[in-house]
This record gives sequence, structure tokens and C-alpha cells, in this order.
Amino acid sequence: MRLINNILESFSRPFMHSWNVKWLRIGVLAFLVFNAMELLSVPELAFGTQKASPSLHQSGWLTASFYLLEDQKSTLLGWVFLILSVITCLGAILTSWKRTFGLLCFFVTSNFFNGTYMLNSGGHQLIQLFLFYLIFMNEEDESEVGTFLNQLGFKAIRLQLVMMYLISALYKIVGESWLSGNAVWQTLQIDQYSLPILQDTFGENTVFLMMITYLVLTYQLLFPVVIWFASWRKSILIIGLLIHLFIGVGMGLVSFALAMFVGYMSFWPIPSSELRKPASNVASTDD
Amino acid sequence: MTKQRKLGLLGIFLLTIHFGFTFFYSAPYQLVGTQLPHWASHYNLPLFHQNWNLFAPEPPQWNYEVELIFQEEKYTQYLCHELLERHHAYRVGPSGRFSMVIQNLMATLHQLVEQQQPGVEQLKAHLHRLAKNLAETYYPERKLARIILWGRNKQTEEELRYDL
Repeated sequence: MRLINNILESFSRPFMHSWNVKWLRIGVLAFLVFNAMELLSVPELAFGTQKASPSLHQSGWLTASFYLLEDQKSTLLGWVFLILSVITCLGAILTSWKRTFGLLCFFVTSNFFNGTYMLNSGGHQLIQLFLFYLIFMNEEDESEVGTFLNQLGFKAIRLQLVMMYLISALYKIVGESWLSGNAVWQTLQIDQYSLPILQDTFGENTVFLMMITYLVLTYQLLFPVVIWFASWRKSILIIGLLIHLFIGVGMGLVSFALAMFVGYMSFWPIPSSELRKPASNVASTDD
Repeated sequence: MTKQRKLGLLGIFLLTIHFGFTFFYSAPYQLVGTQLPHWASHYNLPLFHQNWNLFAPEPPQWNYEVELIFQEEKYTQYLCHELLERHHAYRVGPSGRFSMVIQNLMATLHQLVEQQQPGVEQLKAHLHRLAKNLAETYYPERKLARIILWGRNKQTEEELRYDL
């Protein structure tokens, strides 16, 4: 009962996670810049007349308004969305118009991502979802409704991360490769998701790779529960950072790793130097 | 009931609805069936779509390759090999993304052919267009004559070939 009351009241408590939200926004900006840098050298193939992502022929005004880069006749609109996504994200970081810029950033970024969908990873989907939740948030708005929206958006970002791990773990459990302990080795055999040095080292499945497979599976199963305990949070996040560092460098899914690092900012413990006074309030709202 | 509790209930209601739909939309069909994801898709599309890319359940088992045969006699290039060499060296840049697109499209083509489903010719046409555009970008001085798609299962050593 106490837990339920605590959760109910948490939506009205002063918002104490401005530090996390600031770094989330900076992380999203870093992701958008990284994405832009990767595609800058091949605009025609990414979002121009020769684009790799064929038209999906979306219908309905709402859907169509998020697929404005379909049927591209030139790269111009792609450039406009690319530049605007970075500018609007900067606007949300630097100005007080965080919700307005957040909404604009979500709109232009969604359009850009949807226009390059074949080139995207899961990281793009995650960033798109974070951008949606950030629409609700303005850390500087301390009104009653503002606080409610801040709490709602922030909880949604955290729950999105939890949901991702939960569903990922469920897929792994109903599949074969993860339970048999072969998944990581099998992945490393695929040139796209490996490195020559890893393929040379792990020609056969080893106890070490099986342990890594079960560690990842266990991590994903436990994350949705354990992450809510403040005392275990930092350790869990550090293990996750190592896993996603391997996914980024070893498997080459850099954008996905980057998006996960961004998501982790919502759970990262606030440095003591950034804590608002009284500190006891922070501790009570944290969980 | 206090205003605080009303706001709390509203917040929990909104989050439950949103993540409830998201769960039924993206969870494995073995657990939620096929009807619930269909219903949930009306809510989750287009804004809240999350597919296997985000969850990467089963690792792929095939390496795919695009062989580009140019008009110059005896000159061929292996496109994925070329793209992956760059991707392995730098880890950033567009090469890894394009090779990923080819791997994903080839995996889909392979699946469609094996299950004798429609869409094979359409997908082959798209792969042809993509390979041609990439060839023009990476080898602008050469003229493309033919494209052959290869696949190899690293565990069973089984191979496949499609001529485009």
C-alpha cells in the first residue's frame, strides 16, 4: 500500500531529475550529430534520388505527415530535415521553450529517420521514442501541470528502457540460440556483426562465449526489476555499459550502443554536486 | 480523493495504456498470439513502432555477398567485402549501414524464395537498383555488366546464388 501511495504521489512531487534530462538531451543531440556525420558523404544514397529506402506508400494524413521524405525528387528536403533536427534539439537544450522545440525536433527527426529507415538500427527507434517522451518535459516549468508532465515524460523514458530489455529477453527465451548458449558465437560468425580478430579467436563456441551469452540473457531478464533499487543501480548500469560497448565496437552497431548510453542517462545516479537541496527529497523521489 | 492522487491515477493510467499497447505490439507472438499485436498496431503505428531490430532475438546464420561484374574483362568486385573492410577498420561511416541493408534485404529474399512467397521479383529489382547505385558511387570509373548475389551459411557451409 505504501509503495502504491508513493507511486501515486510521485507524479506531483517536485521534479528533481533536471540533471538526467539535461544529459539525455545532450546525448540525443550527440546521436543526431553522429547520424548526420555518417550520412553526410552519401546524401544521394541516404535520402536523395538514389535512396536505399524505397517508398512505403503510406496513406492517411497523420502517417503521411511523418513520411515527408518518401518519393524524393531531390536531396534538398532531406538536408532541411537533417539540419533542422540538430537545430531544434539545440533549441530544446539551450532555451526555455523546451516543449515547443521538443515537439519540432520529434517531428523533423521522425521524418528524417522514416526517410532513411533501411539504414537505421534499433538505436534510431529508441531515440525517436525518447524524443516523443521529451516533448512532455520542461525542467524549468515547476507549475502543478508542468511537474506532472515532467514526471510523466521521465517515467516513460525509464519504462521504455525497461520494456525494451523485457521484450528482448522474452524473444531470447522463446528462441533457441540463446538458451542453448550459442547466440554470441553464432553472431560473431557473421561478418556484418563481428571483427576478423574475433572470428579468428573464436572459431568454435567456447565456455567463455557461452558465459557471455547467458550473462546477456540474465542481464536483460533482471534489468527490469533490479534497476529500480537505487543501491544496485550504478553496478547494473556499468555492466550494461560494458555490454553495449562490446555491441558498439565488437559487433559494429555503434548507433545502437550510443542510443543505449543515452537511455542510461535517465537512470544514472545524480552526482552529489548536482543534487538540489534538501538532498532527502532527491532520495525520496529517486525510486 | 486529493488532487495529488487524481494526478497520480491519471499518470498511471496513461503509462499503463501506452506501455500495455507497446507490449502487445512488440512481444513474441508465441506469448501474445497474433490478434493482440494486430489490434495494438492501430495505436503503435506509425509513431511508436518497435521491431526486431530493437530486440535482435535470433542471430542470423548466413553471410551474404554481392558480386559486381564490370564490363572490363575479368574485373569483379565483392561489394559487401569492400564495405565491411571499411566498416571493420573504422566502425563509423556509411559503409557498415549499406552492408547491413544488403544483408537484411538478402535475408528477406532468401526467406521469400524458400517459403515460395510473393514479392521475390520486386525485392530482386530493389537489390539490383541498390547494388547499381552503390557500384556507381564506389566505382564511378567502371561500367557494371552483371550482378550476382551469394549466400553462405558459416555453420553448415550451405551456399546459394541468385542472378540479378
